[in-house]
Amino acid sequence: MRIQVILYGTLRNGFPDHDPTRGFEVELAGGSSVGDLIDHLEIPRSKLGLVSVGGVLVKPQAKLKNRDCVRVFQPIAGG
Amino acid sequence: MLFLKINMNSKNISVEDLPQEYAGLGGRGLSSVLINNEVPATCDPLGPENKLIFAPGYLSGTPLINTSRLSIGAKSPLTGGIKESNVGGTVAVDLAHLGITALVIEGAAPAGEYYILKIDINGAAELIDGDPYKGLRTYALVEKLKQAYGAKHSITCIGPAGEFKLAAASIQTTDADGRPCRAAGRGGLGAVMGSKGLKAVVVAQGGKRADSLEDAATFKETAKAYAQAVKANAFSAEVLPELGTAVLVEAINAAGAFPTRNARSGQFENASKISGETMAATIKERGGKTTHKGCAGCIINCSNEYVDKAGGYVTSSLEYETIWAMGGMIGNDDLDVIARLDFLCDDIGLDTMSTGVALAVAMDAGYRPFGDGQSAIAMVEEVAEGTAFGKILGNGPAAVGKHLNHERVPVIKGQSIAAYDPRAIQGMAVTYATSPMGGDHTAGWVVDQNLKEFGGTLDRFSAAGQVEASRNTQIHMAAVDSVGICDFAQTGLATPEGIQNVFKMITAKSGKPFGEDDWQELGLKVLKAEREFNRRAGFTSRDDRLPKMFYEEPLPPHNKVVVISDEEMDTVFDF
Repeated sequence: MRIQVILYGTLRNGFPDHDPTRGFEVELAGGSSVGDLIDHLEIPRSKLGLVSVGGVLVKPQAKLKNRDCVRVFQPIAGG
Repeated sequence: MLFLKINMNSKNISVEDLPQEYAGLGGRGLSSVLINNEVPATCDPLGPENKLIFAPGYLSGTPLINTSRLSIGAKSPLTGGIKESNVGGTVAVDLAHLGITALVIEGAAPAGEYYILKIDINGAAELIDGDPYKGLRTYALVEKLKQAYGAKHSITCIGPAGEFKLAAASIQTTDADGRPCRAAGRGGLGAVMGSKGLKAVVVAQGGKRADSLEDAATFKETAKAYAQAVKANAFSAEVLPELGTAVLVEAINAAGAFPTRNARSGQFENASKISGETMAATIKERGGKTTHKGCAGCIINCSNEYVDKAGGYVTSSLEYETIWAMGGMIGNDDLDVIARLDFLCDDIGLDTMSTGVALAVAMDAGYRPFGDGQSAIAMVEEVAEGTAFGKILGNGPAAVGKHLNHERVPVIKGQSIAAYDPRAIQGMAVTYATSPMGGDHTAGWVVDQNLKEFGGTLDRFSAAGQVEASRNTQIHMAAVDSVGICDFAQTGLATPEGIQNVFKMITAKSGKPFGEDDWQELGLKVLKAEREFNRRAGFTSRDDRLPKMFYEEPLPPHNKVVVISDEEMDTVFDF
């Protein structure tokens, strides 16, 4: 299945093909989860913050479906 | 450890050693304890009985990085309670390098008279006739003062909003490039400065009279370890330099906690147009600066210089709370408009947050349409012009709500919320409601503790654990604001070793043992002084509540309301 991925903060630095607004697309096996996607992108868990699908926050075990748009954020601090 | 008292009635300036009762205090700790001791709680905030305190943090001016924080305190004309608003730039370090622990501005000059307080390289202070500077906006004022006294000065000043004594007036101070773009925004302290007849404080840079350190070798070694911890943290070493605090826009919007169109929704559909990522890309494309040093001794460089399409300077620094207040909160998705509004607020001397929320209330009431950036700019210009509406706007969101007979006003104790909707992050409901400062995010930022994805353990839609989280964070922050460590350099505090290093440095400066219990005690002492002042000023537990809209209107997309009960709110300060 095709998944659209948009990375935020400095996460996108390792992905030269990342479009500022549309991100990029990846091909994943059917039934893959958010966690599988993160592993596929080789984003270390220490750099992983919020993940949302369709504007709703999801957990790493959430299943993805074809054409989902996944947004990945990094941890934040401060105020 | 000098204590300068400047009487604006008699023009007398006295220099004494720091009174024993304030020993060991700095920043917010010093200003709040002093105000509670010396200012009549029921006084008119704009009258001669109020005092305006400028106090660098206890560690400002030492070899420790990121400690150029100046606490400014007084009774607030916006909240009617005690206020401390702290600001970066360079002045805190300069005052500390002159050995000055606090400036205490007392009395008031006759109406219409303004003065410049000038402090030279030897720490000698004088009041100079400020008539030639009357009415100037801050950028023009700073240029003129630099021409008169030389560039090597930090300038802390007010614009027209402060002269008009408006309740959302800020005190601006110069950054590392000498621009008046750093704001002690909250609480209307610019109005207090205006009421005293003080237009600017000009402080010589490069003083050599800093308080001595009892154990300089240990201090320096420990400061180095602390700096290494800040540098080792991805957020302060990588994310903030590249994107600044604006990185929060997309994340908080994704969490449905980004108050939009006067907090009618928790998500702004055009957030990506005003995000930190878009801002950084825009700045880079136009030849501005993303990684920019705003404050003396900073190793994070979270600031930026926003430029226009031709590469010309617009403002510094565009930050998360301003992008929210002038963006999502008023339904505006144009970064150039946000940058212009940020500049105007700095130039006129207005808090960007209170002003943005005041605009949002006006738009929500139908005075102008949401998203109309040009109207927003025109309304803010009215503040400087001194029109009737301009004065209402400059008095903040509650004044606008009253004028337009509009109930949806997101303020607590008269001061607006920040860029985290309390319905989507219940911990922030507790901080907003109970902080002695009124609606305030830095007083007890518990966003990370409310989001599991950021390592938090609390359910952000539930009341469980929120009171304790907010209480502990408020105590901690009262101590942080007293030692003067920048909020973002707290990443160096996040490890057990990190906070031990801070205790070690306090000990190395004072020569007296300082540990975890003392840190807790310092935070409690500050909060107790602030609560006591507010109680004597007439505040009761009924003031520790959010406006009705947060309890009654479910916030899309999660459709939740604030669930912290009044009884729970009243247990926050059970100490």
